[in-house]
Amino acid sequence: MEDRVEQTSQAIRNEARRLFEADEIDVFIGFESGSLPLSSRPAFLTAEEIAQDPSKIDTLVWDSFCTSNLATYLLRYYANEPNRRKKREKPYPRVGIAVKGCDCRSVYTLAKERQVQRDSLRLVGVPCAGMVDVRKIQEQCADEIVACEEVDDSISITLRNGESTKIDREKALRRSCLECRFPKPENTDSIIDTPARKPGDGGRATLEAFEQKSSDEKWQYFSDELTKCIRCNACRQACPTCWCKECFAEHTDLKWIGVGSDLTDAMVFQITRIYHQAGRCVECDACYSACPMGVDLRTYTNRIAQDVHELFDYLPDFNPETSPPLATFSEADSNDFITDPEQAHE
Amino acid sequence: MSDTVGCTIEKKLLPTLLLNESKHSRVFIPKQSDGVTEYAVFGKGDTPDLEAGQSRLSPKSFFFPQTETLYAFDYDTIEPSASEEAAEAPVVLFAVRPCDSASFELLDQVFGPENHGYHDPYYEKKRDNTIVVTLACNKPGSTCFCTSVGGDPAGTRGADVLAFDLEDRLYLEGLTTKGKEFLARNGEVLKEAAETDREVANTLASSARESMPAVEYDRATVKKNLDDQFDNPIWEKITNTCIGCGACTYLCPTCHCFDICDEERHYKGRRIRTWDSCQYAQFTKHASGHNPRPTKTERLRQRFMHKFSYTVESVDEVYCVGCGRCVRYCPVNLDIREVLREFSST
Amino acid sequence: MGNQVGDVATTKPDSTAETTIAADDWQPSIVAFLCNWCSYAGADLAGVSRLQYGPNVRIIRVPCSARVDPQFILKALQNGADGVLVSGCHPGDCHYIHGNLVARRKFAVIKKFLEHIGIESERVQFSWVSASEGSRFAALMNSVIDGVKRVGPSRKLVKEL
Repeated sequence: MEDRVEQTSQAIRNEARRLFEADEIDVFIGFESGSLPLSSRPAFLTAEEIAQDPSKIDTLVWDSFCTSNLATYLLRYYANEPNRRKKREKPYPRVGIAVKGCDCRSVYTLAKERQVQRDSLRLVGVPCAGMVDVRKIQEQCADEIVACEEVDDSISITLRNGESTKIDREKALRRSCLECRFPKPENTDSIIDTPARKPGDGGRATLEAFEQKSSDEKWQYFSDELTKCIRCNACRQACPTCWCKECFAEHTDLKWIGVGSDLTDAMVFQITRIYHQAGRCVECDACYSACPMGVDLRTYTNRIAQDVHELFDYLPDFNPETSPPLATFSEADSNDFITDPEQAHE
Repeated sequence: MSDTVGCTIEKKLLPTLLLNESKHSRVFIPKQSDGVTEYAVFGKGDTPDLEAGQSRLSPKSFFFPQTETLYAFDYDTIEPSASEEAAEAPVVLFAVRPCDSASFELLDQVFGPENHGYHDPYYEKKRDNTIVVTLACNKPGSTCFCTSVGGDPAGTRGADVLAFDLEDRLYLEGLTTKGKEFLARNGEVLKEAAETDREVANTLASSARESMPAVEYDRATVKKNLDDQFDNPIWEKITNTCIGCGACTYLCPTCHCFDICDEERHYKGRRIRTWDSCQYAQFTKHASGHNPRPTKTERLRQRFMHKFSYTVESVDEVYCVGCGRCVRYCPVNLDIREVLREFSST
Repeated sequence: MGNQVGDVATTKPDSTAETTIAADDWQPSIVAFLCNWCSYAGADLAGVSRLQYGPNVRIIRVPCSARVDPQFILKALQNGADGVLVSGCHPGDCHYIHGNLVARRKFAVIKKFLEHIGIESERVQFSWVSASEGSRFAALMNSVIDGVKRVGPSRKLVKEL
């Protein structure tokens, strides 16, 4: 049998080629091999380019390093750009996009928020086998990684000192992927025939273990993590659902937080950013993967998604009909957290 | 090569040397924790991790901190900031990599006395009080490209003392008055170097030099192409993958854009200088609301123009030392080396 | 008296060992966001009825509890408030029909999240008080003050200038 990576990549190329040939799309967003080992990066193929050089399609790949959430890149096609006229002269471009389970859920979340037009998209679903946490691989290597090759379920690594090792892919996966509830995209226009991993528990077990910590221990952990933060905003920029034209952190007439490296400012930034993701975060871990300092954001994005699920029985899934939970309400919502002085005094 | 008499120190005596220094200076040494290398204060019992390689964050923050209080004020007084006083204390930066110490010289052009007679007392004071001990790289990283931008794995730019790692001992050479004084006052733990030591050091340096892949970069061509192609749509293509975070600029040893703002509460406050990044939406945004760089295309272009064109024109320097941090930590693998290659051809 | 309640800055004790501070020595400062139509009127009624409650609360009147962005709460904590209370109309009684129901969702999420990062649950509280419940308001204030006193001065998330 052919190797999974090659097979998936080939299937995506075929689908992209078909979409271009049928004139269904103007641009296709997928992944190509990056310039470093263990990296794949977003690739943009336009119909013009493909008409000139059809072989460009062969640059598309799909391996275990496609950690970015491609839905991030859709927003610009629908945004009214600054300093330009609001009225749109051209129709929305027709975009083909390869989506993992999480990317696909982001697309539906954005569609509900009217940030993308679902009709102009061609979603090519790629059932996901999980993406790798490059840091987990680096931890296992004594020297710098200079080359890597992925074949089925193992990743062969060549180090600078000439040694080579094999790493079990499953052991290097991101936590969000190991715990992912929706590895298989749904409601797509087409789907690649490749196996998805078994759905996980959504991080319930990890969170329960974390909950055992005392308030001060939790605070210590949060402080330790946020001390690493350099306020580069990679988390925000990598996030598909962080689409505000002007982030609260950048308001200057109403200054919510300081711009310096003060720890509490970094904390308030992160608390607010993650809180804003309530009911919208698809736990794709794009923020964690983007962070140059390796701040553990997963523990917190996972929590907010879990909280919303428990409180309002909502998970951002593939259903275009449901309302985002914080844009609506129910009379039956829990009142448990409300301080009742009469009860408190009993 | 030079008439300087070099000296050597056995590695096991390094803590003694650093302990001596720490009696009158704050000494910073490379340390590794959680896979991240950083410069930490030397304390009794510490040994510098000379194998740790490049630090994640560039040491520019020793002279140009991410947040710096310029002064504090209350309703009727202005006080010099604490950081200004702290800057009086002498500092030893031990085992800085040549690319990073070269960046200090570039920063001098901005904040130092070379800048048209303009003085930045905050920067200058710290710079004057610091001894930079540069450690030549025996094993350059896979993303390093200092040789392509005029640097060297055994470069002396910005260094007061240059050290070579000769396995069991270090070969040291004083380059500046400050550096020679440093060696002179630590004479008891140093030995006069043998003729062969310098030869071994030279061999190590040239083998390191040869191990580095050449990046296609010609200063004049790139500058000309950048200037000519300011409006070239190629920029939009390059920007495709960019998510607009500031990781590259915050990790960069030569990026030096800053912002000044006030933080106040209860009739007292402080004026702080913080890092700014050309990648942010607020960068050079006018008070009128107009932004000369409205989208990330213009902002990304600014980053390259500034480094490879504007500074070549103004101070005849390229503001890239080839440390490769932006290559390594860009969340979407937007590789500066590839951009240079793009602008190298006509 | 060194413990002026109004000035957040001066109520900060120097010692970080909160256990050594007797409850009488330290008075928390609490910021309360009260909705104009119910809770603020409830506070008013408590006042005109001369009901006694701790003087630790600084009230900020908002049009509706839904006006309270969780960022207000974070900002208050960052600026040194020892506790934050948000109170609005009882569910079903909102002047704007369902403002407080929308707000309830936000508050439920942020309260849980703040506990998850390690902010004590007494520190940030939410309640409903109607315009006729002066005594409930006084009781609520005392209960919030007691709760905040129990966890001591706020140290987490306070920005030092």
